[in-house]
Amino acid sequence: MHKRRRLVLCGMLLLFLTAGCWDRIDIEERGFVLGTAIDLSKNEEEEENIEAESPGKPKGKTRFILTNQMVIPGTIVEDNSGETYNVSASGDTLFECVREMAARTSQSPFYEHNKILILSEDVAKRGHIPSLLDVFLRDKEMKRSIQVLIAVGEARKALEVKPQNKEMPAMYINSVVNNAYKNLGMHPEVLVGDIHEYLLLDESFTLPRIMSDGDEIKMTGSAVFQGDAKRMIGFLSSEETEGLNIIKNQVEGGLFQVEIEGDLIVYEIKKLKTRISADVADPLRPKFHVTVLAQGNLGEKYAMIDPFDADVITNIEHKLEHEIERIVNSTTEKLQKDFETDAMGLGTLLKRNHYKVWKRLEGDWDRGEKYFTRCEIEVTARVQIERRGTIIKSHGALGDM
Amino acid sequence: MHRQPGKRRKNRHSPQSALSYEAAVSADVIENINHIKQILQSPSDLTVRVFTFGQKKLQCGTVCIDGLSDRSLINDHILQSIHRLQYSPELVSTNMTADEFIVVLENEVLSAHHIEMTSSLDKIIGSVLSGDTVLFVEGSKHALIVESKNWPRRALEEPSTEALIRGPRDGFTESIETNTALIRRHLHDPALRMETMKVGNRSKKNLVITYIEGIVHPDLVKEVRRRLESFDMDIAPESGFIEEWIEDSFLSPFPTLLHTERPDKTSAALSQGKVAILLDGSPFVLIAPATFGNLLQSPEDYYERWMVGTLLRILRYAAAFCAVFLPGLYIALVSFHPGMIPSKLAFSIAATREGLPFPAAIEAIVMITVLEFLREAGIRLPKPIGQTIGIVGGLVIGEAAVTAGIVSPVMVIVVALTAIASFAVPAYSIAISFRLIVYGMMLAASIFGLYGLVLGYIVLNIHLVNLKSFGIPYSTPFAPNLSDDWKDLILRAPIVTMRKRPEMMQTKDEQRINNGGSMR
Repeated sequence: MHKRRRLVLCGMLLLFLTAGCWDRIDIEERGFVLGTAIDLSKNEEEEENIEAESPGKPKGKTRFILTNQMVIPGTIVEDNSGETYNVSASGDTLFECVREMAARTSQSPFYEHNKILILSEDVAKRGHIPSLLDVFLRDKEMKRSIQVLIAVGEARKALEVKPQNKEMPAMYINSVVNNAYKNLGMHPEVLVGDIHEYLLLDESFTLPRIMSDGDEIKMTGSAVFQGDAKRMIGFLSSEETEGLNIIKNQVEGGLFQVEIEGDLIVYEIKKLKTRISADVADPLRPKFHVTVLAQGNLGEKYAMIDPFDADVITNIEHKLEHEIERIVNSTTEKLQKDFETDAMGLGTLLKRNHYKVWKRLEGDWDRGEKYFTRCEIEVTARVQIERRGTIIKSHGALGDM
Repeated sequence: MHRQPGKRRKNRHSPQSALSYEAAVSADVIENINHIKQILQSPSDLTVRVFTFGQKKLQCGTVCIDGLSDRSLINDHILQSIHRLQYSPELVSTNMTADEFIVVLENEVLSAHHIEMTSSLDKIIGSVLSGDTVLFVEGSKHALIVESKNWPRRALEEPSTEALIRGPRDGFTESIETNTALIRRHLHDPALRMETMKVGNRSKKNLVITYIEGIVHPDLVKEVRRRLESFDMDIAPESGFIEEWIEDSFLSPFPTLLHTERPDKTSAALSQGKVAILLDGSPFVLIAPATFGNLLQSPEDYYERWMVGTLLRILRYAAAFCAVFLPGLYIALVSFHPGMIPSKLAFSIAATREGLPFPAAIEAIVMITVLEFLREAGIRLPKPIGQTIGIVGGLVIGEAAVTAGIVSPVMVIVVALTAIASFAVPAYSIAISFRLIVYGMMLAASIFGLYGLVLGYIVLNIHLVNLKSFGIPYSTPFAPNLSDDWKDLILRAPIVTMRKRPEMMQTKDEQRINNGGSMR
């Protein structure tokens, strides 16, 4: 009896003493990392130094430069504005970079508040994404909700922007994505967790593109990744990203401009739904019907037209339909002909709806035989103009129109 | 001292004990009076009046304690009545014996509302000490105890610990007669029972067990009676003494009896099949049994509209949670899991904590302790100065400590919220328990972080479901789950829908509405 009691007591003690969060570090001693950028190291001299310092050390294929943006909490006033500093360290692995960094900063980097991960074009193109993301998925301090962006040029330059409103750069970049509902050319946010899924499924995918220019960043366009090679193929321009967003049915808003009677009108999207159906009569050459349904308002009018004339409206709607078809076609063309990569999720569609067909195509969709490049994509758009604005006339002289 | 259930040891007749007196009343008045004087060691407030009656010069004597007894009653209804008797020869014949004379006095002369004839000196002393007047007659071995109690008593006041916006303003006082009367005023039920006991073998105070027969479960009354009879102590200055003797677990931080100063609350509890225990000299009435849910209820929940009552109850549960876990949660989040705080908040907390000398755990424990000092000081100080302690404390802690860079402003907010939350808990007895548990939670959080806090929560819950109050699990109706009783738990359902008395009380008369009650 006593022996059992002692055993239970021991068990209880172990329960208390062996588990638990021993990593007690007070909040002010943590160095909050807000954003991370990864570049390739091109510094030959440094590599020679390392070689000299530790000759026998196992070497990786490439050296990376990890840049962390750390916040200085004392300087935070309101609305994300505050001072930050960037720390860079190079190493063969990211962990090495982090440890290297610990030797340079007073506060130990803390990643649970990390918002963005920016990868340089070079890193992406050389196919380092899967190995680099490993630590972002594996480490317990990392969150799956980190936003991933591909930078044109050097990634750390994006973290060095100085926003006009004194916001912290990483927070600023993070909140720019939230404007996606206003701009059709912006790729919606992609999180580390999403990429994990793509990588596991061997799917091709796209990531938002970020371009930095001193004080500002621009977040239109996207980077296309091939699912097999898992490396970046190239960038889609802003307009091609519009088409991509339409096909992937991820439009939250934006506008189209069409020319009518020699001048422009602006169509503001309120709702845009895309349905894709596949015709697999010829299993090796599936045919996709993309149906786009758009609802929206007449946003701005330069052309001298009467918006209360039903024929005029129908005319505009037709023009818009052509415009949408043009945009989508340019995207599909680029993806099929230039990139030979199915970043539109057509393969996934086949997999869900025509599994048998997909089984045959699976290995040779956008790799191997590349059946994707040969399939036919037919786009039909239907556009409705619902509201014509709150005024009847804007040009007095044209009152009779 | 161990409780010995079922063994009543009130009247101890041991030679060592000077608490009871075997002596009987003697025929000699002077001897009786001297005897009393000797036992009480002639206290200054003992008033003795010896007089003679009639032509035979029959010696009589009254004994009472000045201050406890009503002087005018003694003058007008005892002394004067006996004097007048001399002029009514038809009542007293000269050859009457002393015993016959004393019977005439009891039945026809004295106009007090309660007279008792006795021959036990023990009883006489007990009565004299509680304010009655005793009348000896020369030659009789009996004496008359005439009730003349007039104790100093306080007027009815609004209960200060349980003030309400809406509800009766009267509260119990220190006088048990007033208290039983107040309950009777709320319940003109012929089935209302009041059983009297004496507690304290030195204090010999009156204690009343009250319940409504026909509603209460008989076993509950038996159990209360058994527990009250099972202990032996010398004095009982407050009902808190009784509570500690009869509660289920004196090792638990949670009170398993409810105490209240409100007659309305007491009568409502009685109508739910509970038992109330009143102690003379204490304005706090004990109500048994009490569950965790009861302690977070206030009478006002029923007096205001039901939606408001429901909202208040939800708020109270939230407040109870905050009062126990807020400082611990702060420590855990700040020291262990800053990733769980929203980014902007995390940065601003980090900013305010920059340059502080102590880790969050020490800071929290010190601050909560200072808060406890303030609370204690606020109670001790005389009322006019009590106000200033708030200002001084608030200034010292809130402003100066932050400006001096000793504590972070967020910590001050957390401590203040904890204090406010604990004041929002209606039962003071459980609110102080929460103040105790806060320390445990802070300790758990400072060693193990959120994991420790969760462990603490689990331990607390295990304790709560194990606890019982007079046979009823403390966590009823959460566990065991009594779905009908949920109507009056976190929600306060409209009174119209609460047709039955609480299921957990297993009342004999279940129906609350539309049956007139079984006793009528």
